[in-house]
Amino acid sequence: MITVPQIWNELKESSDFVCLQFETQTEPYFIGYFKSLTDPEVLDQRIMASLSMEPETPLDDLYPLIRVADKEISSDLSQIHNKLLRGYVAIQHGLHHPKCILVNAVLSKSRDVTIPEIEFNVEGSKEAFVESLDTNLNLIRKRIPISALRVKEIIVGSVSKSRVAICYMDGVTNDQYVNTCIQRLENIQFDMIPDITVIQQLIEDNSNSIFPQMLGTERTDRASWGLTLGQVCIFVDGSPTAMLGPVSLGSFFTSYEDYFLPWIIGSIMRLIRIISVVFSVFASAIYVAILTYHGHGISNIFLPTIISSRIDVPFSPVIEVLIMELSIELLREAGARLPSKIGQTIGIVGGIVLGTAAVQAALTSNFLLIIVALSAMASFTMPVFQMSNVIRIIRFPFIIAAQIWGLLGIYICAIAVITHLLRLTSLGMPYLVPFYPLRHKGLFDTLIRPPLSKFYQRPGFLRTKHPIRFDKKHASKKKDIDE
Amino acid sequence: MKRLLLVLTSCLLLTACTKQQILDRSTLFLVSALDNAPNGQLEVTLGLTKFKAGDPGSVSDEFFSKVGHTSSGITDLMNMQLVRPINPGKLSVVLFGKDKAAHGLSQELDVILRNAQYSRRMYLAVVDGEAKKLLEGNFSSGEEKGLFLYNLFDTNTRKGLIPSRNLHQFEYSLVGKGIDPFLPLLKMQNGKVAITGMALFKDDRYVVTINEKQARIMKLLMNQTKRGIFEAKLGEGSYVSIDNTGSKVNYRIYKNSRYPSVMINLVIEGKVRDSREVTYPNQELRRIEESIKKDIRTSGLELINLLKEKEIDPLGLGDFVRSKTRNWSEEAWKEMYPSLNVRLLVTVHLTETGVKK
Repeated sequence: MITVPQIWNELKESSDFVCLQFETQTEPYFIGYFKSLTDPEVLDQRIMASLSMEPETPLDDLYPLIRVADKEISSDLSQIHNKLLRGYVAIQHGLHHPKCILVNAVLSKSRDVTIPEIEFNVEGSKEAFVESLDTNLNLIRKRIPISALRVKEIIVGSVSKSRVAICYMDGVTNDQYVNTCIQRLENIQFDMIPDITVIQQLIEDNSNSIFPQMLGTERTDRASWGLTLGQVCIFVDGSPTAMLGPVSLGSFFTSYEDYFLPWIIGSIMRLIRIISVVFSVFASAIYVAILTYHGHGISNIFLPTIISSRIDVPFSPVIEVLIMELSIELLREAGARLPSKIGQTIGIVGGIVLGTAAVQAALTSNFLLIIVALSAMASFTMPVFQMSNVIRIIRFPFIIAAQIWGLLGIYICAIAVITHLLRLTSLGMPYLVPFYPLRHKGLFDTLIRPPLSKFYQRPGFLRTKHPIRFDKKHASKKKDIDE
Repeated sequence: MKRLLLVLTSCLLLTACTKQQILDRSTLFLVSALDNAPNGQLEVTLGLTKFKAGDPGSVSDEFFSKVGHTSSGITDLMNMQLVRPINPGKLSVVLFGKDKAAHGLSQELDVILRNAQYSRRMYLAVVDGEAKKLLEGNFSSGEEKGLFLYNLFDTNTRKGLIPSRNLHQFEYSLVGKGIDPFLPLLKMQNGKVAITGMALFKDDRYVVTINEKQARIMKLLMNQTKRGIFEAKLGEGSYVSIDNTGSKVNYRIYKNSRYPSVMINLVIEGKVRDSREVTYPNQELRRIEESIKKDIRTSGLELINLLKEKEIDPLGLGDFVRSKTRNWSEEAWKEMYPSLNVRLLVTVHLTETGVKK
């Protein structure tokens, strides 16, 4: 049986734990807290001030005098223990008294809300989530100020004790998704949760897949849009990213900016993005296949251009492509690890100087350089960073398959990828929906960005409880005042 | 996992099964020429391309020829002279000497038709004289000759005035019933290569030549065209030229009598391009139309009569009748063909006369 003094003694092992003894005429008050976690202002002005004004009151009478909203009287020792470790102040009257007042004096240091760095948009709001869970929930609540927005909090991680919040819209989001999320989060057996991506890997349907099955976003507007449509949104204290689920492959192609542009422009942007991703995945593999096996597939007009740029290159096409692809990956990694100013220098040195020198030294062909650079650029059009990583990696199996079997190899590899995608689910929802299983209405918001007045239904594949977003009839009418 | 590894390793074992032909490490040829050689042998000339690094504009070629029995055997022997193995995949133009063509082409074409690597869009042509001699001449002013000839045929068949016949179409008319193949005829004229007409075939043997004017009429009778200039004589040395803006042709079969008759209905739309003498062609439109109509009709009938006389059918009238007749017999058609009643109906519409008043 543990007692309060034992907690004091145990915590005193850490040098940042303070246990003050406040002498009174009867029994002394013991005030315990972590000075690294508590706000000295609250401690001095709210707690110590009321104690020194009325030093002789018993514990129960002291309680109303402390002018802090978040406080309680508890005799639950494990709760006292945990709350102390979260920055609460415990006040005990007499060393063997079982009850303690717990006062919230948490010192929360968090950076300010800043502009999104990864998902930067030209149009639209410039606020991104931060590391503090409370700030993030505040940002979401401000965007959805209705009671249907529900937040469930769970503690995950045996060491980090991270607070994880699951947000959903009551009456909209399918309970199955919410329950799956809660259940999987509760089942997590992991000690340290430094970021939401760790949770993502732990609760994904297939953790061996390179495709992300939850969509991480740092944009508040994207997260609240997802909630409105009926997705579940998960936050972790300490991570500036929200995670939306369930998602389909199509949602990774949508940039939130699409919704800020006129729908025709938005749709074209979306199409361009899809085309560029296809190009990015297949371009260098097709180059290998054509030059190694299917030379007769090149038209007579292109023939001199391609051959004259490659004729002095000593490597076979596949080695040439692998060298170039790896050096682009190298540039990307180097650029990502360095501060942004030096990163630019790396870009110039690597991209321009190395590229030109490689061509002049006949180590690579001009033609390939263009293809590799274009496909690298095309992979950056992916609005979600996790997916652009996938595009980076997935072309290597295609290149190797192209070397082994030519175009047939690319075909086989594509079949393998599609089969994998068909088997993939996100919180139990098929990953390739609305293409497979085919949902006509879902195609509406995947291939094109629908006009807002026509987008009156929530995507059917999310299986929402309330599929209608707003009344279609009233939306299309324009009520001008002079009519 | 073990199964996956097994599959992956067996994939690597299979790599040797396909033959790699890295494009820049093989010798390509775009043009080849086939001629008769003594003792029933065959002379094959290949224009092997040489590319220059960093300069796509300068492609040169070198000609290798050899005599042997089969063209693939000859090509294989040529590898002995080359640093990079021959890759036949880019062959785009095949020239046949006139003698070779007169002896029949089906044997030589077999190798091309059999191999899927050869493009079905390659052009075939007959050379007036020896094909090898034509290739050795300097006619392309530095440009690679295969590319030059390919572009020559491409421009003239797709956008121009000669009826198109690539390998695929040639094969169709060679194998198909009631249709005979034809190929463009190349000739060296003053150091330049020109398409001087069409070589018409009976089965796979070259029989007769028509000139470029007749070739143009033939194209009108075969395909829809959108190009071409017609000249019409309006009497006393005054000429007018008409730009073809679109012609349509359709065949009709009449089976009322014992023997079927075929009507070819040709509609030409055109505009006046160049009228040297007639100042106000607006009032003369009817006369011009009539004159062109008469001109085309006469030369068209002349051509058809020539075809009937030689018993060849490059227009594919037999093919057309076959598609409209139950129990069509090739023998009966061949017997009837020389006396077939072919009517030609030409309509000319002049839609405009230009901006000049």
